[in-house]
Amino acid sequence: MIRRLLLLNGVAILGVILFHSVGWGYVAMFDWAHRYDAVPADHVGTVSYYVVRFCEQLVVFSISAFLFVSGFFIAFATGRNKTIGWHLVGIRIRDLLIPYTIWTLIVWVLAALEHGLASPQDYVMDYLLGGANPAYYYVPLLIQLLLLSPFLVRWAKANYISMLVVTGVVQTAVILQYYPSLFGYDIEYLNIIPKWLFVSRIFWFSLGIVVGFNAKAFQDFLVRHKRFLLGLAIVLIPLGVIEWEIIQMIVNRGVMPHRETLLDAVYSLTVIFAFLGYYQAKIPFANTLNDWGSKSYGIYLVHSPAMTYAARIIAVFVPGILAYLILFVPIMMIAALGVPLLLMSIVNRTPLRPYYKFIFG
Amino acid sequence: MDKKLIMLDYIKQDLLKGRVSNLNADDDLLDSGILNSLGILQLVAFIDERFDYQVPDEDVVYENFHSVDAISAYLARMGGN
Repeated sequence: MIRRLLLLNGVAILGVILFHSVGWGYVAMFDWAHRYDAVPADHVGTVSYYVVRFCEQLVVFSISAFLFVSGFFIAFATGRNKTIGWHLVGIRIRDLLIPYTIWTLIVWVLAALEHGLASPQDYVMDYLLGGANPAYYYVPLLIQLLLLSPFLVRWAKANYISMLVVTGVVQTAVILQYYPSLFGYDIEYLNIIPKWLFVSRIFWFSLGIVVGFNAKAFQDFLVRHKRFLLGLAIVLIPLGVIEWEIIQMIVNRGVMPHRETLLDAVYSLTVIFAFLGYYQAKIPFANTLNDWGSKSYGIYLVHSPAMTYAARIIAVFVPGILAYLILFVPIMMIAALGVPLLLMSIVNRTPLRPYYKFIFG
Repeated sequence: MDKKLIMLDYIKQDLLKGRVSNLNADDDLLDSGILNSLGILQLVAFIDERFDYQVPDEDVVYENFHSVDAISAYLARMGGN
Protein backbone atom coordinates (compact mmCIF):
# COMPACT_ATOMS: atom_id res chain seq x y z
CA MET A 1 0.00 0.00 0.00
CA ILE A 2 2.84 2.39 0.81
CA ARG A 3 4.17 2.20 -2.74
CA ARG A 4 0.77 3.36 -3.92
CA LEU A 5 1.32 6.74 -2.25
CA LEU A 6 3.83 7.91 -4.82
CA LEU A 7 1.39 6.80 -7.51
CA LEU A 8 -1.45 8.59 -5.72
CA ASN A 9 0.66 11.73 -5.74
CA GLY A 10 1.22 11.29 -9.48
CA VAL A 11 -2.50 10.80 -10.13
CA ALA A 12 -3.25 13.81 -7.90
CA ILE A 13 -0.91 16.15 -9.79
CA LEU A 14 -2.50 14.99 -13.03
CA GLY A 15 -5.87 15.68 -11.40
CA VAL A 16 -4.84 19.20 -10.40
CA ILE A 17 -3.72 19.85 -13.96
CA LEU A 18 -7.01 18.56 -15.38
CA PHE A 19 -8.99 20.61 -12.85
CA HIS A 20 -7.19 23.81 -13.79
CA SER A 21 -7.31 23.00 -17.51
CA VAL A 22 -11.08 22.67 -17.44
CA GLY A 23 -11.11 25.87 -15.37
CA TRP A 24 -9.54 27.55 -18.40
CA GLY A 25 -12.18 25.74 -20.47
CA TYR A 26 -14.82 27.72 -18.54
CA VAL A 27 -12.90 30.91 -19.27
CA ALA A 28 -12.92 30.03 -22.98
CA MET A 29 -16.63 29.19 -22.92
CA PHE A 30 -17.86 32.19 -20.98
CA ASP A 31 -15.35 35.03 -20.40
CA TRP A 32 -13.55 34.82 -23.75
CA ALA A 33 -16.47 33.72 -25.98
CA HIS A 34 -16.43 37.14 -27.70
CA ARG A 35 -12.93 36.39 -29.01
CA TYR A 36 -14.16 33.68 -31.36
CA ASP A 37 -17.88 34.37 -31.60
CA ALA A 38 -19.36 37.72 -32.69
CA VAL A 39 -22.57 36.86 -30.82
CA PRO A 40 -21.45 34.58 -27.97
CA ALA A 41 -23.76 31.60 -27.52
CA ASP A 42 -24.93 30.38 -24.15
CA HIS A 43 -22.86 27.28 -23.44
CA VAL A 44 -24.68 26.20 -20.29
CA GLY A 45 -26.29 22.83 -20.85
CA THR A 46 -24.27 22.00 -23.97
CA VAL A 47 -22.34 18.77 -24.36
CA SER A 48 -19.05 20.70 -23.98
CA TYR A 49 -20.28 22.22 -20.75
CA TYR A 50 -21.20 18.86 -19.21
CA VAL A 51 -17.98 17.20 -20.37
CA VAL A 52 -16.03 19.98 -18.68
CA ARG A 53 -18.16 19.69 -15.52
CA PHE A 54 -17.71 15.93 -15.46
CA CYS A 55 -13.91 16.25 -15.80
CA GLU A 56 -13.86 18.84 -13.01
CA GLN A 57 -15.91 16.60 -10.75
CA LEU A 58 -13.76 13.58 -11.51
CA VAL A 59 -10.63 15.16 -10.01
CA VAL A 60 -11.93 17.16 -7.03
CA PHE A 61 -10.06 14.70 -4.79
CA SER A 62 -6.60 15.91 -5.87
CA ILE A 63 -5.67 18.40 -3.14
CA SER A 64 -7.18 16.11 -0.51
CA ALA A 65 -4.95 13.32 -1.82
CA PHE A 66 -1.82 15.51 -1.59
CA LEU A 67 -2.59 16.39 2.02
CA PHE A 68 -3.35 12.77 2.85
CA VAL A 69 0.05 11.70 1.51
CA SER A 70 1.78 14.52 3.43
CA GLY A 71 0.08 13.41 6.64
CA PHE A 72 1.01 9.79 6.01
CA PHE A 73 4.68 10.68 5.83
CA ILE A 74 4.52 12.69 9.01
CA ALA A 75 3.63 9.37 10.63
CA PHE A 76 6.53 7.70 8.81
CA ALA A 77 9.04 10.35 9.90
CA THR A 78 7.82 10.10 13.50
CA GLY A 79 8.68 6.41 13.69
CA ARG A 80 8.59 5.13 17.25
CA ASN A 81 9.15 8.59 18.73
CA LYS A 82 6.45 10.26 20.80
CA THR A 83 5.96 12.89 18.15
CA ILE A 84 7.67 14.40 15.15
CA GLY A 85 10.53 16.73 16.05
CA TRP A 86 10.39 20.47 15.38
CA HIS A 87 13.74 20.12 13.62
CA LEU A 88 12.20 17.84 10.99
CA VAL A 89 9.17 20.09 10.65
CA GLY A 90 11.53 23.02 10.08
CA ILE A 91 13.43 21.15 7.36
CA ARG A 92 10.21 20.23 5.59
CA ILE A 93 8.98 23.83 5.73
CA ARG A 94 12.33 25.11 4.45
CA ASP A 95 12.14 22.65 1.54
CA LEU A 96 8.68 23.98 0.68
CA LEU A 97 9.52 27.65 1.15
CA ILE A 98 12.65 27.91 -1.01
CA PRO A 99 11.02 26.80 -4.30
CA TYR A 100 7.83 28.65 -3.38
CA THR A 101 9.80 31.86 -2.86
CA ILE A 102 11.64 31.45 -6.16
CA TRP A 103 8.46 30.89 -8.16
CA THR A 104 6.57 33.61 -6.34
CA LEU A 105 9.36 36.02 -7.27
CA ILE A 106 9.21 34.88 -10.90
CA VAL A 107 5.43 35.41 -10.98
CA TRP A 108 5.87 38.87 -9.43
CA VAL A 109 8.55 39.88 -11.93
CA LEU A 110 6.41 38.74 -14.88
CA ALA A 111 3.41 40.61 -13.47
CA ALA A 112 5.50 43.73 -12.80
CA LEU A 113 6.79 43.74 -16.40
CA GLU A 114 3.19 43.82 -17.57
CA HIS A 115 1.37 45.90 -14.99
CA GLY A 116 4.07 47.64 -12.95
CA LEU A 117 4.92 47.14 -9.31
CA ALA A 118 2.34 46.38 -6.64
CA SER A 119 2.43 47.90 -3.17
CA PRO A 120 4.72 46.39 -0.52
CA GLN A 121 1.66 45.41 1.51
CA ASP A 122 0.27 43.50 -1.49
CA TYR A 123 3.53 41.62 -1.89
CA VAL A 124 3.64 40.73 1.81
CA MET A 125 0.05 39.50 1.79
CA ASP A 126 0.56 37.61 -1.48
CA TYR A 127 3.58 35.87 -0.06
CA LEU A 128 2.01 34.96 3.26
CA LEU A 129 -1.32 33.77 1.84
CA GLY A 130 -0.13 32.28 -1.44
CA GLY A 131 -1.81 34.98 -3.47
CA ALA A 132 0.83 35.39 -6.18
CA ASN A 133 -0.98 32.70 -8.16
CA PRO A 134 -4.41 31.12 -7.53
CA ALA A 135 -2.82 27.70 -6.96
CA TYR A 136 -0.24 28.86 -4.41
CA TYR A 137 -2.65 28.92 -1.45
CA TYR A 138 -1.66 25.27 -1.04
CA VAL A 139 1.82 26.17 0.27
CA PRO A 140 0.77 28.27 3.30
CA LEU A 141 -1.99 25.71 3.91
CA LEU A 142 0.48 22.82 4.05
CA ILE A 143 2.94 24.83 6.16
CA GLN A 144 0.24 25.49 8.76
CA LEU A 145 -0.58 21.79 8.86
CA LEU A 146 3.11 20.92 9.24
CA LEU A 147 3.37 23.37 12.13
CA LEU A 148 0.43 21.62 13.74
CA SER A 149 1.83 18.16 13.06
CA PRO A 150 3.70 17.68 16.39
CA PHE A 151 0.38 18.21 18.18
CA LEU A 152 -1.61 16.15 15.71
CA VAL A 153 0.84 13.24 16.01
CA ARG A 154 0.52 13.25 19.81
CA TRP A 155 -3.25 13.33 19.47
CA ALA A 156 -3.26 10.55 16.87
CA LYS A 157 -1.15 8.36 19.12
CA ALA A 158 -3.31 9.06 22.16
CA ASN A 159 -6.75 8.78 20.57
CA TYR A 160 -6.97 8.80 16.82
CA ILE A 161 -10.74 8.35 16.71
CA SER A 162 -11.35 11.59 18.59
CA MET A 163 -8.87 13.36 16.30
CA LEU A 164 -10.64 12.15 13.16
CA VAL A 165 -14.05 13.06 14.56
CA VAL A 166 -13.00 16.56 15.66
CA THR A 167 -11.04 17.41 12.50
CA GLY A 168 -13.85 15.92 10.39
CA VAL A 169 -16.44 18.07 12.17
CA VAL A 170 -14.26 21.18 11.82
CA GLN A 171 -13.75 20.62 8.10
CA THR A 172 -17.42 19.83 7.56
CA ALA A 173 -18.34 23.07 9.34
CA VAL A 174 -16.06 24.96 6.95
CA ILE A 175 -17.76 23.34 3.95
CA LEU A 176 -21.21 24.03 5.42
CA GLN A 177 -20.43 27.72 5.86
CA TYR A 178 -20.68 28.05 2.07
CA TYR A 179 -24.16 26.61 1.85
CA PRO A 180 -26.29 29.56 3.13
CA SER A 181 -24.67 31.96 0.68
CA LEU A 182 -24.82 29.33 -2.07
CA PHE A 183 -28.55 29.10 -1.58
CA GLY A 184 -29.04 32.80 -1.90
CA TYR A 185 -29.00 33.85 1.74
CA ASP A 186 -27.03 37.01 2.17
CA ILE A 187 -24.88 35.81 5.05
CA GLU A 188 -21.53 36.81 3.65
CA TYR A 189 -20.04 37.21 7.13
CA LEU A 190 -20.19 33.43 7.41
CA ASN A 191 -18.12 33.14 4.30
CA ILE A 192 -14.92 34.17 6.01
CA ILE A 193 -12.81 31.03 6.13
CA PRO A 194 -10.44 31.09 3.16
CA LYS A 195 -9.07 27.95 1.59
CA TRP A 196 -5.50 28.69 2.68
CA LEU A 197 -6.51 28.39 6.34
CA PHE A 198 -5.66 25.02 7.89
CA VAL A 199 -9.20 24.28 9.10
CA SER A 200 -10.45 24.04 5.52
CA ARG A 201 -8.47 20.82 4.89
CA ILE A 202 -7.25 19.62 8.27
CA PHE A 203 -9.15 16.32 8.09
CA TRP A 204 -7.19 15.01 5.09
CA PHE A 205 -3.83 15.66 6.70
CA SER A 206 -5.01 14.12 10.00
CA LEU A 207 -6.40 11.11 8.17
CA GLY A 208 -3.03 10.60 6.49
CA ILE A 209 -1.30 10.61 9.88
CA VAL A 210 -3.77 8.12 11.32
CA VAL A 211 -3.53 5.76 8.33
CA GLY A 212 0.26 6.08 8.50
CA PHE A 213 0.28 4.91 12.12
CA ASN A 214 -2.20 2.11 11.47
CA ALA A 215 -1.24 1.14 7.93
CA LYS A 216 -1.75 -2.61 8.29
CA ALA A 217 -5.19 -2.33 9.92
CA PHE A 218 -6.33 0.19 7.32
CA GLN A 219 -4.93 -1.87 4.49
CA ASP A 220 -6.90 -4.92 5.61
CA PHE A 221 -10.05 -2.83 5.96
CA LEU A 222 -9.62 -1.12 2.59
CA VAL A 223 -8.88 -4.35 0.75
CA ARG A 224 -12.00 -5.90 2.28
CA HIS A 225 -14.21 -3.01 1.20
CA LYS A 226 -12.48 -1.96 -2.00
CA ARG A 227 -15.38 -2.90 -4.32
CA PHE A 228 -17.86 -0.93 -2.25
CA LEU A 229 -15.49 2.07 -2.10
CA LEU A 230 -14.90 2.04 -5.85
CA GLY A 231 -18.61 1.63 -6.55
CA LEU A 232 -19.48 4.52 -4.25
CA ALA A 233 -16.81 6.72 -5.82
CA ILE A 234 -18.23 6.03 -9.30
CA VAL A 235 -21.79 6.76 -8.17
CA LEU A 236 -20.70 10.00 -6.49
CA ILE A 237 -19.27 11.47 -9.71
CA PRO A 238 -22.64 12.08 -11.43
CA LEU A 239 -24.25 12.89 -8.07
CA GLY A 240 -21.63 15.61 -7.52
CA VAL A 241 -22.34 17.04 -10.98
CA ILE A 242 -26.09 17.01 -10.28
CA GLU A 243 -25.63 18.58 -6.83
CA TRP A 244 -23.66 21.49 -8.27
CA GLU A 245 -26.17 21.96 -11.09
CA ILE A 246 -29.02 22.10 -8.56
CA ILE A 247 -27.11 24.62 -6.43
CA GLN A 248 -26.45 26.79 -9.49
CA MET A 249 -30.10 26.56 -10.52
CA ILE A 250 -31.33 27.61 -7.08
CA VAL A 251 -28.80 30.40 -6.71
CA ASN A 252 -29.55 31.55 -10.26
CA ARG A 253 -26.35 33.53 -10.69
CA GLY A 254 -25.16 31.68 -13.79
CA VAL A 255 -22.04 29.52 -13.78
CA MET A 256 -20.16 29.84 -10.48
CA PRO A 257 -16.61 28.82 -9.64
CA HIS A 258 -16.75 25.38 -8.08
CA ARG A 259 -16.52 25.09 -4.30
CA GLU A 260 -16.01 21.90 -2.33
CA THR A 261 -19.32 20.41 -1.26
CA LEU A 262 -20.10 17.68 1.25
CA LEU A 263 -20.56 15.16 -1.57
CA ASP A 264 -17.15 16.18 -2.95
CA ALA A 265 -15.57 15.43 0.43
CA VAL A 266 -17.19 11.98 0.58
CA TYR A 267 -16.09 11.37 -3.01
CA SER A 268 -12.50 12.35 -2.17
CA LEU A 269 -12.51 9.92 0.74
CA THR A 270 -13.80 7.04 -1.37
CA VAL A 271 -11.32 7.72 -4.19
CA ILE A 272 -8.31 7.79 -1.84
CA PHE A 273 -9.44 4.69 0.02
CA ALA A 274 -10.40 2.77 -3.13
CA PHE A 275 -7.04 3.65 -4.67
CA LEU A 276 -5.23 2.23 -1.64
CA GLY A 277 -7.61 -0.73 -1.40
CA TYR A 278 -6.66 -1.77 -4.92
CA TYR A 279 -2.97 -1.46 -4.12
CA GLN A 280 -2.12 -4.66 -5.96
CA ALA A 281 -3.94 -3.73 -9.16
CA LYS A 282 -1.79 -2.88 -12.15
CA ILE A 283 -2.13 0.74 -13.20
CA PRO A 284 -1.23 1.77 -16.75
CA PHE A 285 1.80 4.07 -17.01
CA ALA A 286 2.58 3.46 -13.33
CA ASN A 287 6.28 4.29 -13.75
CA THR A 288 5.49 7.59 -15.44
CA LEU A 289 2.92 8.46 -12.79
CA ASN A 290 5.41 7.55 -10.06
CA ASP A 291 7.92 9.87 -11.68
CA TRP A 292 5.41 12.72 -11.85
CA GLY A 293 4.41 11.91 -8.26
CA SER A 294 8.00 12.38 -7.12
CA LYS A 295 8.12 15.72 -8.99
CA SER A 296 4.64 16.82 -7.95
CA TYR A 297 5.64 19.87 -5.90
CA GLY A 298 7.75 21.35 -8.69
CA ILE A 299 5.05 20.61 -11.26
CA TYR A 300 2.46 22.20 -8.97
CA LEU A 301 4.44 25.42 -8.57
CA VAL A 302 5.15 25.84 -12.28
CA HIS A 303 1.97 24.52 -13.91
CA SER A 304 -0.37 27.35 -13.06
CA PRO A 305 1.75 30.29 -14.32
CA ALA A 306 2.56 28.18 -17.41
CA MET A 307 -1.15 27.71 -18.09
CA THR A 308 -1.90 31.39 -17.65
CA TYR A 309 0.61 32.39 -20.31
CA ALA A 310 -0.34 29.51 -22.64
CA ALA A 311 -4.02 30.50 -22.45
CA ARG A 312 -3.26 34.14 -23.10
CA ILE A 313 -1.01 33.35 -26.06
CA ILE A 314 -3.81 31.25 -27.57
CA ALA A 315 -6.40 33.96 -26.87
CA VAL A 316 -4.28 36.60 -28.63
CA PHE A 317 -2.78 34.69 -31.56
CA VAL A 318 -5.12 31.77 -32.29
CA PRO A 319 -8.44 32.62 -30.57
CA GLY A 320 -10.28 30.20 -32.86
CA ILE A 321 -8.93 27.33 -30.75
CA LEU A 322 -10.90 28.63 -27.75
CA ALA A 323 -14.09 27.56 -29.53
CA TYR A 324 -12.96 23.93 -29.55
CA LEU A 325 -12.57 22.72 -25.97
CA ILE A 326 -11.64 19.30 -27.27
CA LEU A 327 -8.45 21.00 -28.53
CA PHE A 328 -8.03 23.80 -26.02
CA VAL A 329 -8.25 21.75 -22.79
CA PRO A 330 -5.67 19.13 -23.92
CA ILE A 331 -3.36 21.96 -25.06
CA MET A 332 -3.64 23.49 -21.61
CA MET A 333 -2.86 20.13 -20.02
CA ILE A 334 0.18 19.66 -22.23
CA ALA A 335 1.42 23.16 -21.33
CA ALA A 336 0.75 22.59 -17.63
CA LEU A 337 2.69 19.35 -17.56
CA GLY A 338 5.14 19.94 -20.36
CA VAL A 339 6.55 23.29 -19.25
CA PRO A 340 7.53 22.18 -15.72
CA LEU A 341 8.90 18.85 -16.96
CA LEU A 342 10.89 20.63 -19.67
CA LEU A 343 12.31 23.14 -17.18
CA MET A 344 13.21 20.30 -14.80
CA SER A 345 14.92 18.44 -17.60
CA ILE A 346 16.89 21.55 -18.62
CA VAL A 347 18.00 22.27 -15.05
CA ASN A 348 18.94 18.62 -14.63
CA ARG A 349 21.26 18.79 -17.66
CA THR A 350 22.98 22.08 -16.94
CA PRO A 351 25.34 23.46 -14.28
CA LEU A 352 22.16 24.44 -12.40
CA ARG A 353 21.70 20.76 -11.49
CA PRO A 354 22.92 21.11 -7.86
CA TYR A 355 20.22 23.75 -7.38
CA TYR A 356 17.43 21.53 -8.74
CA LYS A 357 16.02 20.82 -5.27
CA PHE A 358 15.91 24.52 -4.44
CA ILE A 359 14.08 25.36 -7.66
CA PHE A 360 11.60 22.48 -7.82
CA GLY A 361 11.65 20.95 -4.35
CA MET B 1 29.56 -3.13 -5.92
CA ASP B 2 28.75 -2.90 -2.22
CA LYS B 3 25.04 -2.30 -1.57
CA LYS B 4 25.87 0.71 0.58
CA LEU B 5 27.89 2.29 -2.20
CA ILE B 6 25.16 1.58 -4.73
CA MET B 7 22.57 3.25 -2.50
CA LEU B 8 24.83 6.19 -1.70
CA ASP B 9 25.49 6.69 -5.38
CA TYR B 10 21.78 6.52 -6.23
CA ILE B 11 20.90 9.02 -3.50
CA LYS B 12 23.67 11.44 -4.49
CA GLN B 13 23.15 11.28 -8.24
CA ASP B 14 19.46 10.60 -8.75
CA LEU B 15 17.73 11.95 -5.67
CA LEU B 16 20.04 14.81 -4.70
CA LYS B 17 21.15 15.64 -8.27
CA GLY B 18 24.73 16.08 -7.11
CA ARG B 19 23.78 18.70 -4.50
CA VAL B 20 25.59 16.89 -1.67
CA SER B 21 28.98 15.36 -2.40
CA ASN B 22 29.99 14.04 1.00
CA LEU B 23 27.11 11.82 1.99
CA ASN B 24 27.97 9.23 4.61
CA ALA B 25 26.24 5.92 5.20
CA ASP B 26 25.39 6.86 8.77
CA ASP B 27 23.88 10.27 7.91
CA ASP B 28 20.25 10.53 8.95
CA LEU B 29 18.48 10.93 5.61
CA LEU B 30 15.36 12.62 6.97
CA ASP B 31 16.70 14.45 10.00
CA SER B 32 19.50 16.10 8.03
CA GLY B 33 17.10 17.10 5.25
CA ILE B 34 18.84 14.93 2.66
CA LEU B 35 15.63 13.19 1.64
CA ASN B 36 11.97 13.96 2.07
CA SER B 37 9.25 11.40 2.35
CA LEU B 38 8.81 11.03 -1.41
CA GLY B 39 12.56 10.50 -1.68
CA ILE B 40 12.29 7.62 0.77
CA LEU B 41 9.60 6.06 -1.42
CA GLN B 42 11.81 6.44 -4.48
CA LEU B 43 14.57 4.72 -2.53
CA VAL B 44 12.22 1.85 -1.64
CA ALA B 45 11.35 1.47 -5.33
CA PHE B 46 15.05 1.51 -6.19
CA ILE B 47 15.78 -1.26 -3.65
CA ASP B 48 12.91 -3.32 -5.07
CA GLU B 49 14.36 -3.07 -8.53
CA ARG B 50 18.12 -2.96 -8.00
CA PHE B 51 18.41 -5.59 -5.25
CA ASP B 52 15.42 -7.60 -6.39
CA TYR B 53 13.96 -7.50 -2.92
CA GLN B 54 10.38 -6.41 -2.33
CA VAL B 55 10.42 -4.56 0.98
CA PRO B 56 7.16 -5.43 2.79
CA ASP B 57 5.00 -2.41 3.62
CA GLU B 58 5.27 -3.01 7.35
CA ASP B 59 9.07 -2.76 7.09
CA VAL B 60 9.01 0.65 5.41
CA VAL B 61 9.43 2.43 8.72
CA TYR B 62 11.71 5.17 9.93
CA GLU B 63 13.83 2.75 11.95
CA ASN B 64 14.76 0.73 8.83
CA PHE B 65 15.13 3.66 6.46
CA HIS B 66 16.62 6.57 8.37
CA SER B 67 20.14 6.02 6.97
CA VAL B 68 21.98 3.96 4.38
CA ASP B 69 23.54 1.99 7.24
CA ALA B 70 20.08 1.23 8.64
CA ILE B 71 18.79 0.13 5.24
CA SER B 72 21.85 -2.00 4.69
CA ALA B 73 21.48 -3.63 8.11
CA TYR B 74 17.79 -4.24 7.41
CA LEU B 75 18.55 -5.87 4.06
CA ALA B 76 21.22 -8.04 5.67
CA ARG B 77 18.72 -9.17 8.33
CA MET B 78 16.17 -10.01 5.66
CA GLY B 79 18.73 -11.78 3.50
CA GLY B 80 18.17 -9.46 0.53
CA ASN B 81 20.57 -10.06 -2.33
